[in-house]
Amino acid sequence: MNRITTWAVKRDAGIGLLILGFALIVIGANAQNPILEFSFEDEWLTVPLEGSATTWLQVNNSSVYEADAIEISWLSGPANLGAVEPIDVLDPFSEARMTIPIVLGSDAIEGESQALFELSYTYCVADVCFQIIEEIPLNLTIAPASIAPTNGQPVDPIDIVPVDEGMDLSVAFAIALGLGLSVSLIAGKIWGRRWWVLVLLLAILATGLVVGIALDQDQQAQSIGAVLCTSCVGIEEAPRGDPVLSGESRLRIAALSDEIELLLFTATWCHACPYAKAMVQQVIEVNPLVTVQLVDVDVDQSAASDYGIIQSGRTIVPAIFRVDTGEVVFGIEDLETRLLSLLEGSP
Amino acid sequence: MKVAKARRVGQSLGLLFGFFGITGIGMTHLIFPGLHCYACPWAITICPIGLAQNLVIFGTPPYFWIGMIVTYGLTAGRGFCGWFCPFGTLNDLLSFRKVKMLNVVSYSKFIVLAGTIIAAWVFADTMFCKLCPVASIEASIPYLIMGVAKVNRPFLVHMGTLTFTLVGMVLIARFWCRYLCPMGALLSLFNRVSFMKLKLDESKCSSCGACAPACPMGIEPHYQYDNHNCIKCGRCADTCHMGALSLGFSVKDSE
Repeated sequence: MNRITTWAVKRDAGIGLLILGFALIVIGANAQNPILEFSFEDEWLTVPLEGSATTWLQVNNSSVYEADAIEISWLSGPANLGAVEPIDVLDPFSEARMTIPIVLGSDAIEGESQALFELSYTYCVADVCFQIIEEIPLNLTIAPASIAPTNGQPVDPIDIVPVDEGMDLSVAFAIALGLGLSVSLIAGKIWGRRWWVLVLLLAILATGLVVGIALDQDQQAQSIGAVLCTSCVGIEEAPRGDPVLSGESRLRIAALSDEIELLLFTATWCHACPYAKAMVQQVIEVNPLVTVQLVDVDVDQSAASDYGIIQSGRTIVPAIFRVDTGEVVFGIEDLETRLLSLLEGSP
Repeated sequence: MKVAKARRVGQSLGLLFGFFGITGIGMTHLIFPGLHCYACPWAITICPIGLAQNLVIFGTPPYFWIGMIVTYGLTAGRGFCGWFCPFGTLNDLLSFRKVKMLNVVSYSKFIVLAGTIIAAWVFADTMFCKLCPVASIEASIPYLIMGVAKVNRPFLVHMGTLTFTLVGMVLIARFWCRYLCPMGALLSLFNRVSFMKLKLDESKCSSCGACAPACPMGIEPHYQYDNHNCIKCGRCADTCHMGALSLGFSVKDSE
């Protein structure tokens, strides 16, 4: 190998490692994790026996993603929840407070106790939505009915249920790469520089495939490829906000006199699906003769296949299928017009 | 001409593999060794660039992706561009003007690759796919014919990028592969260490330069036989009267 070529190999390897390093940093920084922080206003909440008290839950969103459907529910302990208003949307870099009315159960006894609540919310990154569920304890001092003081003992750290999978395998990947690097260095010393690169690449290749397949990443890749996300590849745009049926459309839908059964094929991560769902919801509110059954294509692959929603192995969502005519409407582009013609078609 | 015929077979196999979904077998777990849209109704493989963007968006460490890319890179490097990639084949069909490569500009495809990854991270969306001419031709148009897609703004954007690329390809042979393909950028990183390589027997080479005008990538094979832009199509080997250039598989160096 001449000097120029040797330099070129080094340059290419350098560029490759730089890009790889950059990609790993980017991916590491963007890992799927809980994005909200929760804390109760009162570290210890004093609740009188057979009574109730109110505390507040501070919710901070310091991420770049919008958190949706923030809900709290009771898991265990002597205290139950009163009516809690869920937070529908929490914007990026914002905070909110939830009013949490605590109602003691009839079996509560005086003394210190702990109630456990479950917090759930979702957030979406492009077409992929994650549901995060966390457990949060609330320390209670159950006092006689007449006393209601509070004191400031430290609260336990919030117990976050880890959603990150495969950390052990990540370590295995790092170790294997380290070993591969060592072996390649030795190989390079013995057989020449070219082998340094070759053996290192073989080590990356082997560990990548083994760890990737062990983590079902090939399955994940297949899932990504098997679903046609109409907005991702630029077939249509996912609109913001809910649709509003026009007055004329409402009149035409109300005039339908036959029973019509629709199947709405959706996926939880599909950005355009809520729009289709909201429009169909309006249709059934206008005319109760129209019924809709929701089908999650991730849960029920066979139904999607039976009704032709999977074509050439590609699942297309959202899709609205009319059972008696077998007609189907894909996507949300000009949905109102197409849905009307689907509904008004004769069986 | 032996190489040219063998390459036609390879490119036909690439097309067959790329569109094998027409048989209805559905999506497999394999990543395609070229730029080939997974949203195509007949694709049975995953687009490496589309998947990379999704992995960035999901925050998934790309072990499987790296394993597959290194496998392809080590096997043939950019040989897949010249021998297998369906979009490369389209580039080939339109390569009328084999003008000289602008070496400095050819690094623009690395900018496209970096931009693709950064945009996926920043916008949490597959931004490259919305512009990708491969998606235009393999997804937008078929879905328009199938009635799933409509002529709307995203569709027109796709047609715009497709037209730009096609015009580029007619004016400059392998325009997309030379300057813009992010998958080409990825595979080119492996070009010098891959097992498939263009070899030069310097004792036979008279430096006549007859190979250069034949090269669709516009490089000078007798000087740059292991250039990162070489797609190992072997046209130079077919052209060389001295038999100095040859294509082959080996673990050893190019020389």
